[in-house]
Amino acid sequence: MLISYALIKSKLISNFAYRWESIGVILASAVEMLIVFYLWSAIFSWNNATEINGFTLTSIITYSVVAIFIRLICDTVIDGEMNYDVKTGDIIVMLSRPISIRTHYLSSAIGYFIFNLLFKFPLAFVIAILIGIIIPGLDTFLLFILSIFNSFLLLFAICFIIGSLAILLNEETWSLWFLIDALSLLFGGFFIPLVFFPDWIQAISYLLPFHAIYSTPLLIYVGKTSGIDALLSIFVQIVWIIALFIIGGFVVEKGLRRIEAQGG
Amino acid sequence: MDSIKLYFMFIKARLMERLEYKTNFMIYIVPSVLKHIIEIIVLWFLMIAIVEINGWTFAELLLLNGVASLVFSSLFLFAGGIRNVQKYIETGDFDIILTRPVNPLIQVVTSDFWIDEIGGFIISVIKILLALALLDVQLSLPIIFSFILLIICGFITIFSLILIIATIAFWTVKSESLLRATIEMSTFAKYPLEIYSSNLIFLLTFVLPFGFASYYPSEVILEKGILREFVFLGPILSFIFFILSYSFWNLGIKHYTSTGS
Repeated sequence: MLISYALIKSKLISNFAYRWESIGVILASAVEMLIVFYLWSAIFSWNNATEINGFTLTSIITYSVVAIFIRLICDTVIDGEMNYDVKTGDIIVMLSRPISIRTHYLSSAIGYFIFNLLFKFPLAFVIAILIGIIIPGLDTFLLFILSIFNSFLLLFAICFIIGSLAILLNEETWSLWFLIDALSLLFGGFFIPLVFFPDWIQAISYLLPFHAIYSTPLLIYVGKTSGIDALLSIFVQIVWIIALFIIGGFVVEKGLRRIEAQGG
Repeated sequence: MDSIKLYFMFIKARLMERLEYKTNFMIYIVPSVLKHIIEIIVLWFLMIAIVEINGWTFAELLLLNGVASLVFSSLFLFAGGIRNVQKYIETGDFDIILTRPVNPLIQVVTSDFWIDEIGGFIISVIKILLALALLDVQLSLPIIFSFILLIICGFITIFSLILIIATIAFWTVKSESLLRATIEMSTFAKYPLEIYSSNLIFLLTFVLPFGFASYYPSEVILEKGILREFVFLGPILSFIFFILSYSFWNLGIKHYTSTGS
């Protein structure tokens, strides 16, 4: 069993109960969107440019705004949850449940993801429309939806590894999230598209999973990759998901063995 | 004077408490330092591609970014506990604070210490020094003095703003989410004010004065000349904001009725 519907439902309900707490995060994203809008507008008007590295003003604003969107919607907060469960010892309870530890957290993450789609998405979307982003055609949009779902799974897999490290090392590891966030800036094309970086950085970025989280769906959204190329980049995402799931499974396996060895 | 002495005693105790866990210390500091470094690298590559933003070069933006991150990491280092106000009110633990013979504000701001911000603090200073080296500006003693003074005033102004937001919890119980959004707005301070619309510049100067956390102090060194007339409002504004926020905080305490249980 990969996911548990009962858990997804209970997670969704509990997230809705605390929905107004996420207003801060939404406002923060709105601020970020506003800043990229002003920043790129200033850059284009100062340089009198119609195109920078193949991006027009509207397409680069769309790129950056949708990037902020992806982080808002796909963030799973599983790393924090697992760290908390390790700290309180609740992780032991998971072992006695008839579902695997990954099923538990994946269901929890999906519940949160659905909450994000139902609550955060509409509010942030209004802001994005006010800023003025491009709305793509239906076929592009469907590919984008598919790739954004993969982005969610990738972020889940990474957060699951961070959380599993907490079990393995018996330390708080949630601050590693800062590192993931930072690496996404450089190798994921989060803040500016990868074409702005020199070739060697782009080459490194293709060896790392971060470009599959942000760059792939974003380039599909702004129409830089389409058709076969788009399907190919989605295939690369899936390869990364499988690889990261295997690594996460390995780490959690080792960590749980360590917990069992402590006995008690 | 006694309050200041007590404040440093409390901060020292928090630091000692955090240093107890050595590996944890590294796990907190290394990622946050790397985040700052990568941010600078990304900014550098952006500036290679576009050369200037409204006449601002990489070194000038680095100075702006350095001052902004210095003010905000200091905020979490020296007053990190301000984020606990909601928690104290929710649980009723604020009762304990009120019974102690020490100023409640000092107790609250020293109740937490964001150890990861030590890295942020040090790297902010490095950013500023690096920017000054790249800028090739003539630094005289009065300029350095007013630069540092304005940064301190910026810190006081931002602290007062955050205090006002946190104090709202005395009426609404919840203020954490609003506080997070306000702190997140600090990103505004990382870019030159003149790229924003005039309404936003007004907002960032007088209402949510993030301009004083980076733009106006940097102006002393960069002498861009734009919006220069506001620079020396810094000390006056920080004084007004502090008085306002402290009165508001005291009003909040008066309004406080324990949630009890």
